[in-house]
Amino acid sequence: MTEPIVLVIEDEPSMRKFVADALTNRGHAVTAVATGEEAVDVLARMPQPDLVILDLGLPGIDGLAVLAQLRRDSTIPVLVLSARGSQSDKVRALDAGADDYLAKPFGLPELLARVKAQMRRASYAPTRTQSAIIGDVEIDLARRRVARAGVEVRLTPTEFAVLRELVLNAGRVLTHRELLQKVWGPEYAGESQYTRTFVQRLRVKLESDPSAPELIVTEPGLGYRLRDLDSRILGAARGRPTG
Amino acid sequence: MIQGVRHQVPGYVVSCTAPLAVTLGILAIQQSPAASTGYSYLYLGTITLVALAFGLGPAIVAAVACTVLIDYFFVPPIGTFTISSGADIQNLLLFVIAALVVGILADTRRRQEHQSRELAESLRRSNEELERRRAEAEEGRRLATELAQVSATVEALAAADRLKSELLANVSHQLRTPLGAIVGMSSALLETDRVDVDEAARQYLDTINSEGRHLARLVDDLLEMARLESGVIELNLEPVDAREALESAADRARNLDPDLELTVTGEAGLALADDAGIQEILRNLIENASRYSKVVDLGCSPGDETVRFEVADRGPGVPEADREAIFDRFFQGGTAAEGSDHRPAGSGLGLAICRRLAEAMGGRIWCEARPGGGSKFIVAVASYGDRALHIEAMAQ
Repeated sequence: MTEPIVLVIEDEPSMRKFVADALTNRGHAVTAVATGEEAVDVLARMPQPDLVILDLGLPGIDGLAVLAQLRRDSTIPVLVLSARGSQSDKVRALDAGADDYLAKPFGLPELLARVKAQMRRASYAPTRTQSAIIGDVEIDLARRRVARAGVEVRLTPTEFAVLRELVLNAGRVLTHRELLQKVWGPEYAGESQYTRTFVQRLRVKLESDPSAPELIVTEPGLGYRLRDLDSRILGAARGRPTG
Repeated sequence: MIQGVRHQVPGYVVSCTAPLAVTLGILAIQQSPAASTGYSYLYLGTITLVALAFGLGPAIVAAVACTVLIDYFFVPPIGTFTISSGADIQNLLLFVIAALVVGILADTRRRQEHQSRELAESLRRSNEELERRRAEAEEGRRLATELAQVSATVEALAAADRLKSELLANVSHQLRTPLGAIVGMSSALLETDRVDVDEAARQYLDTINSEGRHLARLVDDLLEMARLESGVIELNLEPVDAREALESAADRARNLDPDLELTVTGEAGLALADDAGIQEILRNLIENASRYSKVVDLGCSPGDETVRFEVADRGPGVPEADREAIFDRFFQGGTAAEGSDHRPAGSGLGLAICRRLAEAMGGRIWCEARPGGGSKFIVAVASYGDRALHIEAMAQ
C-alpha cells in the first residue's frame, strides 16, 4: 500500500516542520513548501496529493487565492490552517472550497484527527451498492460517481460524504447535528456553518437554480432533506431559498 | 365655448342697456329732441366705454343700438325709423362709420392693455419661479454641503472601523501564531509513546500546553469582546431549533469533558437567533457552570413571544447582590465559587460576552437561584413564531 501524499503549505518554519514531522512520523509522504507560488509549482509537477494542508496567511499569493486556483480543476481535500479564528474567517474559507478549518493554536491530536478524517472520507467505500436518480441527477454511491444531465459532476470527498448521508436518508430531515455527527464527527457539534456551506456547495453543483433548490431543501431551524423522486415531482415548483 | 359666451353675456347686456340709458338721459335733459346734434358724442363715448370694457362684439351691438335709437328719437320724422332727408342718411352713415372706428380703436386699446397685463402677470410668475428655483438651488447646495460633511464623517468612521477590524485581525494573527508553536509542539512532546520525556518534563509540558490554550482562549475572548463592543460582529438571525441547539452544545461539551454530566430537557421550538451566537452563549454558560458542579442541566421552553434557554449548575449559587455584576467584564465572584475544588480559571469575559451577544440578538440574559441549590442562567430570545413556521411549511 502506497503512502498517502500530503502537501503542506505553511510559511512559519517552526509550524511547517511541526506539521511535516508529525505526518511523516505517521507514514505520510510529506512535501512542505513556504509560499503559494511554490505550492502552485509543486502541484503542477508532483503526483496529485491525497491531502493539502494550507495556511491562509501566506506571503505573496495568499492562501485563499491558492485555494481558489486549486478548486478550479481539483477535488483534492484541503485542510485549512489559520491564525484567524472568527466564524466569518471560517465560513469564508469553507465557501472558497476548503474541506476543513483548524484555527491556531491546535494540538497534535486535533491535527491528526482532522487529517485522519479527511483520509477516511477520501477512501470511504459504501458497504452496499446504492444509487439514486432524482430528476436529471444520478448518484452512484458504490462508484462514488455523480452526474447531472449525463455530465459527471466532480465532488470533493467531504461534499460526497454529505450527499451520501442525504441520499441514505432521502425524504427524511437530517438535522445539522446529525449531519455533523455522521460526516465530520462529534467534535464538530454546534458547527452548523459546515453543513450550511457544504449543502450550498452541493446545490451549486447539482441544482439547476441553487437559490431555489429542488433537490436539497432546507427545513427551517432544523437541517436539510433530500427530496425523493415522488416528492420532487409533487413539489417541483416549491423550491425555497437556502438556509 | 359655452363658457366663453356666458362670460360675454354681461357685455352684451350693457351694450344694449347703456345706449338706452343715454337716450333716456338726453331726452330728460333736452327740451326738444332735435335741438342739438351733440348727442352723437355721448353715443360715441358710450360705444368707446363698451369697447374698452367688453371688447369689439358688444361695441358693435352698442353701435347698432345707438344708430337705431338716434334714428328713432332724433332723426326726423321723430318717433319712426323712417329717414326723410338725404343729409340725415349721410349723417347717420358717418355716425355708424365713426362708431365702428371708435369701437375698433377702443377694442385694440383694450386688447393691448389685456396683453400688457398678461405679460406683466407672466413676468411676475417667471420671477416667482426663478426665485423658487434659486431658493431650491440654494437649499440643494446647502444639502450637498451637509451630505458631503456626513459622507466624510461616514467615510472616516468606516475607515476607522476597517482599521479596527484589521487591527483585531492582525492582533489575533500575531498572538495566535506563536501560540500555535507553543501548543502544537508541547502537545507533540506529550504524546504517550515518547520515551524521551520523563514524568517531571511531562508535567511541565502539560502546564505549558494548557496555559497556552488558556492564553489562546483569553485572546479569543478579548477579541470577541472588542468585536461585540465595536459592532464589528455580524449576526445572522434565522430560525434555530432550541432543543437541537441544546443537544449540539451538550455534544460539544461532552466531547471536551467526558466526565461532565449533562442533562437536556425541553420541547423543540424555533427561536429567531444567530445559530453561532447561541452556540457561543451556551458554550460559555456550560463552561461557567462546569466550574461549580459536574452536573449541568440544560433546558429550553419555547413560548409564543420568546424562547428560553436555561443552563443550571448545582454549585453554591450566586449571591443575589452579585447577580447583575457577574455580567460585567472581569468580575471576580466572592462566595459563589467557594467550596468547589474544580475551578479552572476563566477569562473573566465569558458572561459579559453572553450578555452582549444576547442583547445583539434582541434578547436578554439573567441569573436566578436554582431551586434546590445552585445557579440558573436564562437566555430569552424572540420566538420565530408559529405564523412564520406555517408560512415556511407552506413554502415547502
